[in-house]
Amino acid sequence: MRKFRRNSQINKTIGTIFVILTLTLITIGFAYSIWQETINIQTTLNMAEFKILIQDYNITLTTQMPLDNHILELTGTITPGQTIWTGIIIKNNGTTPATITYEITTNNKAIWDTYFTHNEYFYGPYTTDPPPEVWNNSPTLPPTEGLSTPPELPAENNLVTWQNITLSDTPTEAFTIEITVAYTATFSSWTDTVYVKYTLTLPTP
Amino acid sequence: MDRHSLRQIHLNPPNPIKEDTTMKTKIFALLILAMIVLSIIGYSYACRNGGIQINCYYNCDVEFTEVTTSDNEIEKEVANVYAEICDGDKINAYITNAYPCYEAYIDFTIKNKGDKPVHIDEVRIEDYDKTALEISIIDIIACTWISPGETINGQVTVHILQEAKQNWQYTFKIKIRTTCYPERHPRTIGFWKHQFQVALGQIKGKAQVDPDTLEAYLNQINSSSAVFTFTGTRTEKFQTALKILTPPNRSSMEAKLKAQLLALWLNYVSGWTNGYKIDGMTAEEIIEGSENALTTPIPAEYEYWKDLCDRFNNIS
Repeated sequence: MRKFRRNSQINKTIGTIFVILTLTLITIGFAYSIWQETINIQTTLNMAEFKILIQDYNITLTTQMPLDNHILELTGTITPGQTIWTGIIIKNNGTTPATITYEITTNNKAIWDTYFTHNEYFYGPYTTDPPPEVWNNSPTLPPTEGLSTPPELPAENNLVTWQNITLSDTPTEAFTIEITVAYTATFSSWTDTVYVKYTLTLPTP
Repeated sequence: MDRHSLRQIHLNPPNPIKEDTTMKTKIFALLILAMIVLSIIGYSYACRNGGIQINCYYNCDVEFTEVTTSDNEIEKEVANVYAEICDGDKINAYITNAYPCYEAYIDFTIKNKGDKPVHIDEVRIEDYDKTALEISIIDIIACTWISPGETINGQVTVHILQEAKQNWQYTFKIKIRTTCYPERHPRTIGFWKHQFQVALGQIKGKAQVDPDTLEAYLNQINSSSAVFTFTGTRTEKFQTALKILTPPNRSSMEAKLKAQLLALWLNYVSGWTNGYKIDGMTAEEIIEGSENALTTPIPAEYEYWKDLCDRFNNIS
């Protein structure tokens, strides 16, 4: 009985000390806090995304490699006087606008300059899918009201481009030529490029 | 020993349990007393005023009162910046769709809503990706004061660098640490001597002004004063200042004036003379008059200016 009472007293003492200690710490903390204060500016910054891709294509060349969103590879034969039409939908899949430029490069400049002609037509931008008259139901190629230079492409918008490549009637010997049309999107210092790559062969005339 | 005497002895026998309880009570009381004393010391320390006065009726409150945002976009609106004040002591800012070369500006106002001057101890940008962001804060700088009711404006500029990653989130925090102080007032020549003596290690003790700040004050005086020059190492500057502040007993009136004038300069550059006047003159006017008397020179006026400087330094 006595032992029980003694333990109870010890517990009570420990409890009291604990309460006092807590009160002391609270008092000191309060005293400190009333004369010092920190104010904050918390900033969260989310970066934009910059990305274009080939959403769809429409070609008159019979053979092509599968589309991988950034490169459309076309391989086939071409005959003198033939015109190849290729249409692609470039989608701005990022969150910023994009300025589009295009450039043609080839592995055989002499043949390109001598025997080929090229034209490019741009349509859009479109917030939704392009209208049928400029895409898959065009009565003629190129569709009417095409632009000679690409317009600015806002985020989430589409741009249609039709290009033709025509071989003249005059080549006299067989050749194979690689032609790359690069469409480069630019915003600030960011760039992204999609390509249409042709590998065209002229069989022996 | 007979039976009677044995009974007498056992009339008031010692009670070990009672003694034990009494001892515990005493220890317990001492413990409580010690706790209370510690509490008072802690509280008093926190509320101290120059180490001699206890004033706990502080109303210290620094808050953001306004925040606006803008950016460097002129033609196109691509990125956005938005900010809001939360509970007065926090600004939450959000920048979305940011890109290289984009700059966001967060303009904010801080108000001292308390009744005591507030000192900005530190303005710190916590760890952030320096390869992607360039952050700067203008107008709000450490070691400045905000008087009661006064507002100050600051601006945070966030510049996105070329290396910033696309589709990525960056966060950062700016902490402005402030301390509520008793009213500012000019300090005596003795106060300033003490600061330099401690900084030079000539005496032990606690200085109220740290050596970096002291040197900054002397540099400021060096560039503004026509009388005082402080060059060389920090120690040399401090020694020069201390020498001026401690003229010999039978020194000239010129030396005495210089001593009080330097103390007034130190009070002036530390911002402790703001709002005070002696004989209708501000510290700046007294400094100008004293320096004019010394550089012209007009020895007849030395004592007059020395007394003015002295009174100003003892204004508290």
